Amino acid sequence: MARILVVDDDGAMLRGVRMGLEALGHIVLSAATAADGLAATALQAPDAVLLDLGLPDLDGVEVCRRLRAWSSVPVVVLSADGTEERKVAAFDAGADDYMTKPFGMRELDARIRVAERHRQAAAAGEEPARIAVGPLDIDMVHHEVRNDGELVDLTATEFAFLSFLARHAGKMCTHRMILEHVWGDRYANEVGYLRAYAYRLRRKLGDQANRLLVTDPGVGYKLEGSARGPGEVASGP
Amino acid sequence: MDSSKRSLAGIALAGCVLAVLTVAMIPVRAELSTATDGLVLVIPVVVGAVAGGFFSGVVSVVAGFLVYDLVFTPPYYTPSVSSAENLVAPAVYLVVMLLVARVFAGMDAARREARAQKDDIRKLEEVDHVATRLISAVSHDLRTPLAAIKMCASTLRDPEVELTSERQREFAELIDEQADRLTRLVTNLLNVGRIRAGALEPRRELVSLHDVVEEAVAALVPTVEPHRVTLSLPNALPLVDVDRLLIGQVVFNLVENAARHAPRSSPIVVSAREASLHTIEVSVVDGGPGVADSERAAVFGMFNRRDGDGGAGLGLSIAKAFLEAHGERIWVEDGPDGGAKFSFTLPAPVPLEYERLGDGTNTCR
Repeated sequence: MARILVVDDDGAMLRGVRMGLEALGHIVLSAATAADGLAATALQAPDAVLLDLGLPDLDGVEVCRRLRAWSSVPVVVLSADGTEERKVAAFDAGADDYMTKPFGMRELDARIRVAERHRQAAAAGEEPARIAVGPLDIDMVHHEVRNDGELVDLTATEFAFLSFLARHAGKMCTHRMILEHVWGDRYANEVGYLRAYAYRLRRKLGDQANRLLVTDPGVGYKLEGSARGPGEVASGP
Repeated sequence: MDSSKRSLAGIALAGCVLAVLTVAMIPVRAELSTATDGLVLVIPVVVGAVAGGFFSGVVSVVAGFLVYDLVFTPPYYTPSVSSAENLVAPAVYLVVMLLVARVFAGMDAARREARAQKDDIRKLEEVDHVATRLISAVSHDLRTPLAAIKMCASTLRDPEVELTSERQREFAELIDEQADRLTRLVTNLLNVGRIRAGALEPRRELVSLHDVVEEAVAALVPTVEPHRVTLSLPNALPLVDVDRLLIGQVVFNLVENAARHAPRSSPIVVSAREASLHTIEVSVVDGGPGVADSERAAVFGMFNRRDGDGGAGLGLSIAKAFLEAHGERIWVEDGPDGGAKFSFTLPAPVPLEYERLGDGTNTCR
């Protein structure tokens, strides 16, 4: 159960999200404008925020950016606009996930959980020494990656790329985020690097169907699954 | 169309340049070689060909040749036809300049063609831009009610979710309402299609404005809470001669538009008055930010919507098209308290005075 704030100017959307999330056992707060949404985030401290982008008083991307100045609450964008530009803008503004309307309640619930877990892991502070994602076991100290127990031979950059995605497992990372963190600020537009390295990683990890390293064309990459610390048992979806 | 005008302009310009150069060179013509004179006289030809095209270039060449021969080729002010030797330079000038005019006029034509193509491309890009906006507006408006329906339906069919029958009904209600909303959107889109095709013919009948307005406001529930809308219609109003479905849609669209742009709880007032003997003026006033002078014409444009607005921007343009199909008009001005006031006219062929003389409404049917 979680306290979830929904910010949407459409009455029907607010009612639908509220009724659906309540049926799944959550407590739902709602706001119809950006101003109310920001105020409610500050005053009511929700566990997650569901944010529409087409708000009457302020663009949702800007709301996300302002919110990120003082809050690390998980933000899942709900938008009718599924274009790359909007997705990239939302992720770059600090959104944890982006869902294009329409969507089923179970999927929304799952995405909220992933966003929460991701935020909690980030809040736990120090970089974990080992991260396990799906079949991967990544040793951050010794720069070793095991895939189903088998050691994978990676170059330093391949390792940096993979471990960045692993630290944000389950969350879409935009091209810019990855390039800036792995290659440095000056390489923020070199999307071609990503394509080449994603191809090499997939080959080395035996991920032919792009199920583990997922591409959102024009937006970015994510490592499917959620990060577990060492010793944790993998839980079902 | 204006190519002859352009030719004349080119000739005039070349003539002016030729005159100026000639006057300037006459005092020093004795010191200048005939070759220099010929070179300077290239200028008016180029000017004529570039500004006015090939024909204007040819006229400039002939004028240049005559000036060259008469003014700059000794013996001055006498045609050189007699002396073959003196004719050589002007004749070479004539031939070369005709070629020059041709080349320059051709270059110019190519440039114009390129510019025309660029214009065409820009027009196509505009069409493309409008189409993109249309798709994005319609997609937004379709996806929002679909999202609400999908959320409800996916919850209802979830085997792990248990719902009280009360809750189930709430989900069903929301699905029902949103299906109606989708229907209205599709109807509006079809109406846009009919307007575009010019196939909109109002089916006129004499109806009571009260009925039309009340039906429209009732259809707005639950998009607009009924208590927000105040009807301020005089009890005694002449019947209006309109297509009740179309005018009902006009009222519906105006009130919905008002509700979308005004603060959530602010009142919306629908009023009517007899503007003249045969005209009723209906107004919808809201408590929103109003419409700036500069936007007043544009608000009725198709797919015009404000940033962050949830609508497709169809409502007002449809209202305008429906009224124009009736031969009536719609406009927007400032409301009494700063909001927007949308008004439109309706025909009332039988004024109240005559109606009262007869017995009841039968006389005007």
